[in-house]
Amino acid sequence: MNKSVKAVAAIIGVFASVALAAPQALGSGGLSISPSIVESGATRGVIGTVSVSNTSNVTMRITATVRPWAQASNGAVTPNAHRVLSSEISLDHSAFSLAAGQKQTITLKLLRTPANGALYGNIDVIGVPPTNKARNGVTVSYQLIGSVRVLPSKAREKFSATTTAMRESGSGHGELSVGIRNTGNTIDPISGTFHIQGALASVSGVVPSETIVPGATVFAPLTRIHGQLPHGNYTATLTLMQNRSTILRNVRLKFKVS
Amino acid sequence: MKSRTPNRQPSALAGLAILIAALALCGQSSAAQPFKRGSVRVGGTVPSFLGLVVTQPNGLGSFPDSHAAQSYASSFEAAVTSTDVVAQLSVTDEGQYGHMTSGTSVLPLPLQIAATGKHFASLGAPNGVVLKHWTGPIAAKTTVIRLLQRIAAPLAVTGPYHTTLLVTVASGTP
Repeated sequence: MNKSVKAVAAIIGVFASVALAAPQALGSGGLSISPSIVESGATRGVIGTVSVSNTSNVTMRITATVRPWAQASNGAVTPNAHRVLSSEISLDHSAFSLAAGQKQTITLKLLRTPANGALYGNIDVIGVPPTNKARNGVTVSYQLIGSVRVLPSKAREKFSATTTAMRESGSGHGELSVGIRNTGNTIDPISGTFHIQGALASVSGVVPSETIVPGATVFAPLTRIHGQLPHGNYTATLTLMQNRSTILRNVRLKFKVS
Repeated sequence: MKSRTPNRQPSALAGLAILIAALALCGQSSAAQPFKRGSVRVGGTVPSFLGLVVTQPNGLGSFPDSHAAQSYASSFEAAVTSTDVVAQLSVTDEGQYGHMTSGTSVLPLPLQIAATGKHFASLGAPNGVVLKHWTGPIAAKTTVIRLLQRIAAPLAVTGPYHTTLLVTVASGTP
């Protein structure tokens, strides 16, 4: 995170506490978690705490769960609703009632060293206002999802680029993307450059920054092809970097424009 | 002979003169630190933060005029505060995959939802409907969330209907 973002984040943090403590202009109140990113080394024991604040005017029933991420091929991440990380990370308070205006601190504890040396997941906090059986219509509950990062003591920056995908929308038109799989244990974003060469045409560009969860494959878009690549066979050459280190150099992938 | 009230003004001026002299002496003292005009670094560490404030929507509890095809609307507001690089606001339905219920009765058409200026989408997908996506810290960013319930045919049960929506703010950075 660069300095300007840090400065803005600090200012936001100050105003956030004031905003949520002040009389709620919206009326019904809220729920917050801080910190929203828990980051620690992969050492067994306490890895951090999260403070859950109920700034509404009703008591809420709070549940907290640590889950792994599920990452789609376009890079979007969501909590994996079908899995929990209770064998790896424990919470000292996972289900409790939180009165209006009160806070509860949840302590996260790493139970065992992750197999890959690192663990990236999320803390899923849900706040449910009391059910008003006489209330009809739509009622709203709260869900906040923060990040939990157990960082490796020894970083293994390993990625593979094994396939290209062409989503065609017409002859010579489409989007070319490359599948990049994180086979290491780091979470920092990757980016890079590419060069596409064929018999009659070529194009170069940058691979946009992507954050890929270890074990996941994300298809990073390379270029939209607007008739600039005639029919034929091509070779895409990729160079990818992470934290200014080259992780893949001149990886060649063949594809065809038909 | 009238007693004269001491004139306090000369005493005040004398005190001020002494103060100024004292300050001047402090400035000239080799032991005292001279006053310097400059900048002072003030800072600290603020933990990352994720917060959500919502209003509870009204209406959509019953549909008395359901003999003809109609649409019923409501709305509520969500204010999001986030220090993270990426944040996302979405809504899912905890109930019957986006359909409001009254006991065992289920409305045939799903509840629809939209942020202002966006098209309505039906609730029911496992990951819900994504309403907003931010890149960068935000403070109390308010989104008006609109609800729409279409009634296409006469209902055997006009109400009361109910559903619970889960409004989610997620840090988008794994």
